[in-house]
Amino acid sequence: MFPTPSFVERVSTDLQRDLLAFLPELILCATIVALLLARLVTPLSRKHLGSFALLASGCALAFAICFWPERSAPIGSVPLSGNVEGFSSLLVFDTFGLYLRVFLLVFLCCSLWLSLLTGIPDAEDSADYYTLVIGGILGMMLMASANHLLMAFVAVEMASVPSYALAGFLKGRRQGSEAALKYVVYGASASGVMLYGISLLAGTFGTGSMPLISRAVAVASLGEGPTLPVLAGSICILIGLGFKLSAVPFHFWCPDVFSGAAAEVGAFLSVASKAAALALTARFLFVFSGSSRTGPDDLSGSALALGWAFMAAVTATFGNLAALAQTNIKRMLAYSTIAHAGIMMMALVAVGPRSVGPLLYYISGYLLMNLGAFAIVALVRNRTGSENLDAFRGLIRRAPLLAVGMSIFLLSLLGMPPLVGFAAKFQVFAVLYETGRDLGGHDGMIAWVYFGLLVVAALNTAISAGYYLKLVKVMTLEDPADPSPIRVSIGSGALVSILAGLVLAAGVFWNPLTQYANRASQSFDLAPKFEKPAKIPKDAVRPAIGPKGKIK
Amino acid sequence: MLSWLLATPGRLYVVATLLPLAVFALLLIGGGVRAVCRPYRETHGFARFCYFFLGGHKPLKSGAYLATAGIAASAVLAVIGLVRFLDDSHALSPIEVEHRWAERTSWAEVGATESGPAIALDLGYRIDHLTALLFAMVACVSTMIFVFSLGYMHDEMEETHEDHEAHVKRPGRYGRFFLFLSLFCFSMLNLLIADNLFQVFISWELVGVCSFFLIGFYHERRSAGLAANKAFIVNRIGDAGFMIGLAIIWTYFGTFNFQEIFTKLASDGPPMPAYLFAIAGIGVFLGCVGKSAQFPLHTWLPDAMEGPTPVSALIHAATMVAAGVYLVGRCYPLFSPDVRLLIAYTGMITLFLGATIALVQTDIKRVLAYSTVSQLGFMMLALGIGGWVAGLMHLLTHAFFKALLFLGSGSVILGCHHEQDLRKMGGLRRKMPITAFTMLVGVLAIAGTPFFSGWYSKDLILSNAMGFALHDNQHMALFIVPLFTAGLTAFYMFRLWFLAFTGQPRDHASEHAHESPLTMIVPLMILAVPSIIVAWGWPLWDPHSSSLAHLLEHAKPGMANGLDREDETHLAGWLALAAAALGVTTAVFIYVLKKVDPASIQAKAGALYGFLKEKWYFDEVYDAMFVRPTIALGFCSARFDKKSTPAAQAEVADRTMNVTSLDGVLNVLGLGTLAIGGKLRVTQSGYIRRYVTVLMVATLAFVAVFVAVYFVG
Amino acid sequence: MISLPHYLTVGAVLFVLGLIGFLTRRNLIVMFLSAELMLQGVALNFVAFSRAHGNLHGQVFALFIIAVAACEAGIALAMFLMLYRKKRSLDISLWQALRDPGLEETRDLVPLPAEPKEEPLPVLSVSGIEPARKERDHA
Repeated sequence: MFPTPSFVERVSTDLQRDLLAFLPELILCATIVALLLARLVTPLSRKHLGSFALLASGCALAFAICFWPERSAPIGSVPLSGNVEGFSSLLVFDTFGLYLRVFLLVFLCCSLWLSLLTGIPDAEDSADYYTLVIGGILGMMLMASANHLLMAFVAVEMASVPSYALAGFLKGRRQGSEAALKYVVYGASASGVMLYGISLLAGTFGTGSMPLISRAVAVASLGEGPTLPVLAGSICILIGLGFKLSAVPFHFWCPDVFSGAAAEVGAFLSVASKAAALALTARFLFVFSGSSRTGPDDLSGSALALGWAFMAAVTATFGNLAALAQTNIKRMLAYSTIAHAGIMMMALVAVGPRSVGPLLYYISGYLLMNLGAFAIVALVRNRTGSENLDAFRGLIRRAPLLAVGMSIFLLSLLGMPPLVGFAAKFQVFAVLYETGRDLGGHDGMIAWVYFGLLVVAALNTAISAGYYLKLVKVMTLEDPADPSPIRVSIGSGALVSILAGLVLAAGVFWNPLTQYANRASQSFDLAPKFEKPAKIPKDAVRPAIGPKGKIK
Repeated sequence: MLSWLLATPGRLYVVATLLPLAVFALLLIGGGVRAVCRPYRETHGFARFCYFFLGGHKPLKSGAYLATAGIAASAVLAVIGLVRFLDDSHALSPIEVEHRWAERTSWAEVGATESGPAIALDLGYRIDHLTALLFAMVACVSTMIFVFSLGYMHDEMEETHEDHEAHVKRPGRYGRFFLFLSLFCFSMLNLLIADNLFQVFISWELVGVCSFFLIGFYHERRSAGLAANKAFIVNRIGDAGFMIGLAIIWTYFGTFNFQEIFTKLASDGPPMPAYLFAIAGIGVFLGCVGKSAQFPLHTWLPDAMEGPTPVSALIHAATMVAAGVYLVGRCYPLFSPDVRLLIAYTGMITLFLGATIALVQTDIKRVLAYSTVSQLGFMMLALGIGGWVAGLMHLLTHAFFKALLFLGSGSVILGCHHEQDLRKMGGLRRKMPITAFTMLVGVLAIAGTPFFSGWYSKDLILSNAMGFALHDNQHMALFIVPLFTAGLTAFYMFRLWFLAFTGQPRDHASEHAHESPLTMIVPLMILAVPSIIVAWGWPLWDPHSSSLAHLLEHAKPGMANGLDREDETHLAGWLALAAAALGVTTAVFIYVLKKVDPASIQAKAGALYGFLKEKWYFDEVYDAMFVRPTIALGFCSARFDKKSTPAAQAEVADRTMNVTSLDGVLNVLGLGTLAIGGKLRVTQSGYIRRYVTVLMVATLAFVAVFVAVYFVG
Repeated sequence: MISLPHYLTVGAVLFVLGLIGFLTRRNLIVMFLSAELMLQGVALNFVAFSRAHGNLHGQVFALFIIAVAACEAGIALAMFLMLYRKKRSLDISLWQALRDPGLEETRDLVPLPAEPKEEPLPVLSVSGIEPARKERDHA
């Protein structure tokens, strides 16, 4: 009943280790508190606090990068090489979570920089805005490393509640308010469904710990298979996640919220929120695919995979078809987000080390290109006051840099080589093909599901050309109604150029990113951890050309 | 940086390759920044500074100097690398050399499987004697041509340049010229150091693109645009074959690395059926046929002379067109004996074809272009019959004297105020003595005069051919035709020189000709030196003791054992010399002593003359066989496609749902997709209660379906 | 004897009742009351499971659910207040301006209340220790 000294000892050493590993999140927490308290100090109460928020997030990013296992960590005591469970196994610190943590912090820094440039929060409400954004990212980071259903639920809510507020952040605008309303109503019902699913699942197994549930599911699959509450519960959870992913038919909030909210918030919702939701989905599906590995005949695994594959295909197709007729750029990008979510969901049909690497690459590339696209929408909105297609007419005459940047981002979203979008799509397609080919040996039906997905994905790419290229055409070939040049500040130009340069560089040099992503995907390896056998000819030489063609 | 460089000497080559790329990137970024700043140059201080710092309205001169400096540095590094490599290869064991002069790094690893990445593509370099020699050649020749271009492209420096052929005024494109030239140099050097086929393929396409842009440099001229298109399209035919070859190789070998492929081939033989191995070889060779302008894809090269003359010299004579020959040499083990025979015969046809057409051309650049085609044929023939060293040695020597000849012709063209017709020249020897003299060196070299570089390589080719022909009598043509063509070569080259430089001026352009500026003369003089000495060895009079040949011998793949027999070689050499002498004598008789009037020969051999003059009617035949049918097919499908409507109604017609025509079907598909998109949007009613209802109903439906499938099914 | 299935049934009934309320009512506040009802159903589930398994996991879940529900309700109510200021009505059907272009407004069986004249947005004082600035009030 009472803790023994050895227990206290163990808990305190564990806690120290966990807190150290949790340092980036703690920095963000401290930043939030500091931002809120700054309002109480007279000299700071009217200052724009964006640069402070940016600085703090950069600091958190630096720490998060230090925790990557292959780096020589300055804090050597953190044993993060394997899958370490922390905080009484509520969280797991594995390479997958670490990768996404870095990813989300990179996004946070970029998005804070963007908001500084576009001035979406003014000095008075800057503390609110940055608190909300950082809080949302914090929730997403927890989503990415959740190891317990309770943690998953709390993290999803932590990510959602700030997003509701952000959607309606422009208080004076009706559209913003309506977007927030829709988001909160839809989100509340979806989280109710998800929570019900969690109650069924956690209740049946008597624990919320995902590894334990995974083991129990695997054991059950050897017997008579999952019971009704388990199946219904997992479907409900997936529906809750489907809402965050804006998977059809749970996507309705997405276009309305995107078109009502500011473009900066749109970027936040479409990149960070999707990435976190995908991460949690991957973790959750992995819990269940643990059973499907016992044998190819197991129905629950394959039925779940089938349903997920169907949803992914419908999501991608719906998003692309609906985007064709849009005239509002933000709405178009919202549907494009739905379509990309569909493609990313396809990668998750067979969750494992093979598919998670490409998925992470896809998300990372998606960060660059989608953030870039939304940034340009925001910059053009600031100068023209419009977010419609007409504002982009003849943009090449008015702001060549923005037009070229937007074209690069759109072509990358479409999947043109040599941009990052092509590399990402290529890898996801390759995974679908290879998984299908490997499964073809013993489970023909499932193999055809993969080939079918491949066909759907290819068709979707063709359909998406319709609206991406239309926008490129409008920007470059048509004459502007108002030919006055659009002034682009140095900072905005730098942001757009850096993002476009990265889109190009990552599309040409796939390697550093694919290597990190593949390293991260090894968290999903069921087999005991193995180090890749070193290839002698490759390791014998040091790389001659570093990333981005830089000579070391 | 420096320690990185010194760690492995092979990295000299990486730096030398990347230098032109860095210059390209700098010029590109500079141009981009200038374009971005342009709209604000009146209003914004910083933008104005950037704009005028980067040249303002005028083409940026310093960019050209930067590019020249970059390639010159590359050349210096290449020469240092060559010397050090030769030292190393003398002193060290092959494994050590391999360790010091080859590296690779992974470029893309896609997907993780249990045994490493699912797909792994590498970037790497590997230096052997062939690469080292060719690299030095390309870098040095490029440097000369860059310097020459500084002078030749001088009139592109004007703010508004008037194109006299297209009659348009446009801004000068001095900077753009060097931009593309730098990119070309990077691609070409990268192609040479690449240790895998994939990297070769990328560079291959890049040089093709650069060639396209540079042929179409004066794109206001219709002919330039057409020529650029032609070059690009014809090369695509070859590249299609190349890609088929690559696909087969990747499927069966699982790697693109040359050494790995060759090791596998040497130990286990081809891992694929024999016919696929042959197809892979033919595919790769087809790529080389396109790039090296071999029969039947040779037609693009003469048209490519629409580009500026330095481009013709660098890309379409000295380096890029030789890439095909280089690749055949590099991939030699991939060719089965039958494919090699095919290569030899292709080369034979090409060399004869090119030489005969060159006999009657009157445009100075076209004569040189056809002579390039013919010389490339010699190289291919040599490779095909197993004369690996002979073929690649000719590639090296040819690069120097052909660059010299082209630059000389550029000097002549500039001196004669952009007159290219040989019939209007004459007597230029006195007006531009240095050009005349240096070109004479080139002519002597290509004609195969003893002690000039061309003599050594051509002699080697012919002796190899003779050995091959004597070994197998049914292939006697492989010796007779080149021998005869050697005579033709001497004839048409001397014809060119006599027409241009001797006699009296036949036109006011040549009357007012003047010697070119120093930036153009100096490269000519420098290039004349290697055109003479590059193949020398001791004893000087024995082509078999050429030091170049001995160096190349080190890189020779094991199977390239030519049937070169010592006893016959001298006979072949003497025969070649006799043929060349005959050719020169004929040229002297006709064009200097004027014993025979060329017009009377034309009249007597009217049909043959016309046949040659029209380039064997290749363009016409291709036109009739491929181009017209394609266009006709296009029109046919267009008719099938949509109802022929007046242009005014075309738009309306496009939108009508005429399902009977292809366009109609596509329209139905496209508009149908759009309509489905529109229909799908109906669900997005903006009514949140409906959204939530759908959410709940879908949830119930999902649960129900799964429960049904699972517990019933 | 009241056993686990009974509790679960009550939980499910609560959840479905909340769901029905959420779907059928148009008043924002009643809708959110229904949402709370759904969450309470879930909480009941958790507590019942916790009892059945004899551990405290479910109890912890229930506590967290209550806290999170309070957060959600807080932000939702704040938002409703803002919406009410704009339309002087809590009817959710009034908010459907954001929809795909070219679609009709959705009409329910019960007609929508008339749209009131929009009032100017009140100038709120800045949170924190300082009162609103003077110049802001003049503007």
